[in-house]
Amino acid sequence: MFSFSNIRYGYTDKLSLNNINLSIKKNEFVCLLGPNGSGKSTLFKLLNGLIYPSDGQYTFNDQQINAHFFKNSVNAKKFHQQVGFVFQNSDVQLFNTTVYDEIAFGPRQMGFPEPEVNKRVIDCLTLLNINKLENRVPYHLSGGEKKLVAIASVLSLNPDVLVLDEPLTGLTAQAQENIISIMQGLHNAGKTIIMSTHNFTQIKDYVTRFIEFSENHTIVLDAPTKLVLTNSDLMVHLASM
Amino acid sequence: MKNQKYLNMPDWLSSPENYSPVKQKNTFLQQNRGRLLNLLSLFSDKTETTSQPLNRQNSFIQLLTTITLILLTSLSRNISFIWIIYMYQFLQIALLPKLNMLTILKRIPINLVFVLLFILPSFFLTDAKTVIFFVLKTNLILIIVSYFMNTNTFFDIIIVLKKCYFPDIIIFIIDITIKYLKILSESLYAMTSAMELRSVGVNRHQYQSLSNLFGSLYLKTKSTALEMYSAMEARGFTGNYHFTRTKQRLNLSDITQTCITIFLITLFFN
Ligand SMILES: Nc1ncnc2c1ncn2[C@@H]1O[C@H](COP(=O)(O)OP(=O)(O)OP(=O)(O)O)[C@@H](O)[C@H]1O
Ligand SMILES: [Mg+2]
Repeated sequence: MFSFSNIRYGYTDKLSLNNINLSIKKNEFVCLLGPNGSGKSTLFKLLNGLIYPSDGQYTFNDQQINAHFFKNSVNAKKFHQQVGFVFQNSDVQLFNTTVYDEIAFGPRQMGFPEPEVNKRVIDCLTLLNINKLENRVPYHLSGGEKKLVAIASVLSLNPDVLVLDEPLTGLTAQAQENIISIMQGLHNAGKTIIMSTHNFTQIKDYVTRFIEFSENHTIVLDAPTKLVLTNSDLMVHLASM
Repeated sequence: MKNQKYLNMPDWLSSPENYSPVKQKNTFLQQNRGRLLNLLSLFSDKTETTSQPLNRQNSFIQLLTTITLILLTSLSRNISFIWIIYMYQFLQIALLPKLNMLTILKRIPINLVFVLLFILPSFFLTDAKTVIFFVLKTNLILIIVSYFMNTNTFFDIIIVLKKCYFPDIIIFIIDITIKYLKILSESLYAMTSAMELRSVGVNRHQYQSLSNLFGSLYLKTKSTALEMYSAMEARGFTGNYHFTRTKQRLNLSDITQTCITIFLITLFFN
């Protein structure tokens, strides 16, 4: 589904991603690990077409993803509907006046009639246990509440691929468990999930594949969970990150 | 898999979406995100983008040189002298890393147009020669300034101001304003990106969405400012503004530059 070959990217002349080779198939549940500043968020931005590689090739469903691809508005819209992205910083992801409108933003754009939009919004609110936030102003919410609303607003688009940059950070244990079971449910429903976290132990029983970034902005480990779980040294290493 | 909790997945969410967007011309956002990025780069420190220490000159000397050159240029009535400074300045620009060089060179035509626009009326009042001389001079001054801005970070400039005994409070305000503008423009960029990512179809209220976006941005700026001030107070900010100075020693290029400047001054008075 996604394929990166020899990708390099630098915001400045310092590289933030160095020689990334990676391919992700449909219905995988991938988790990125790695120290702060290793390039996880940068890879996600690249994946979502917010930035383009300085070097190397990125393809999605055999279609090359670059500025030219996004020039075509049909391509761009289809791509953004298929690939949903939850930012690491949910502060910047909310731009509507109420939580309801925030979640309805996507479905309304897709041209659903208002009853269908309403159904989607209520379903998402229920799924994330945030029904009581429905009429609040996103801006005034707490950090964790914002994160949940951001996730809901992406879910309402029903994307095939869900990219979540540290979705568990800043949430209560209960909310974290809920998010994990939602991701698991979506995975079981055939969707592709790509996430990042700093807590290996918490998600090791759910994801199907681990990718570890190093401080040099390269991938140092790319292994299916089955393999990771049988290697106790590796387990200790990943758990201590 | 363990711990499979029963979760009520709505039907629509567990089936693939068959959505095909309608063809439509690019929205306001898509057209302007690139422009916003350019605007953003204005606030980023130019020298941070090049890690080469080659051109790291002492900012204090650079400031003095810049001021001297501007003074000499504006006072001079000798066309050959202006050309000499031009040549000197272009030589310096040529020694810069490619990225910085390009940003300065790209500015020149734009500057020239502006200078011409302002000076055009005087064409009718005086002779062409004087006007051209004046255009050359103004343009040179702009080049000198943009060279200085491109080789010094805002942080360097602040340190120089501090050395020149500028009041703390003014330095503080300049420093905070610059950082603030940068944070602000980055939030704006991130928010427009977020909006674009979820703009998957026809937005019947495009301008309302935009105004909502600016509304939340405004609220954010207010709270960012307040939070920053509280954070500073919490850490004991009293109005004295200290920062670590990296000791800038004089190197060969500083000495060369000083010599050249002195040479230019003597040339001016001859
Ligand atoms: N907007 C930016 N401008 C310049 N450099 C940046 C920018 N964003 C990130 N970087 C740099 O790129 C590198 C990778 O950053 P990235 O945000 O991808 O790290 P990360 O793995 O997501 O870290 P974390 O775990 O802290 O979220 C870092 O060295 C960072 O300093
Ligand atoms: Mg990150």
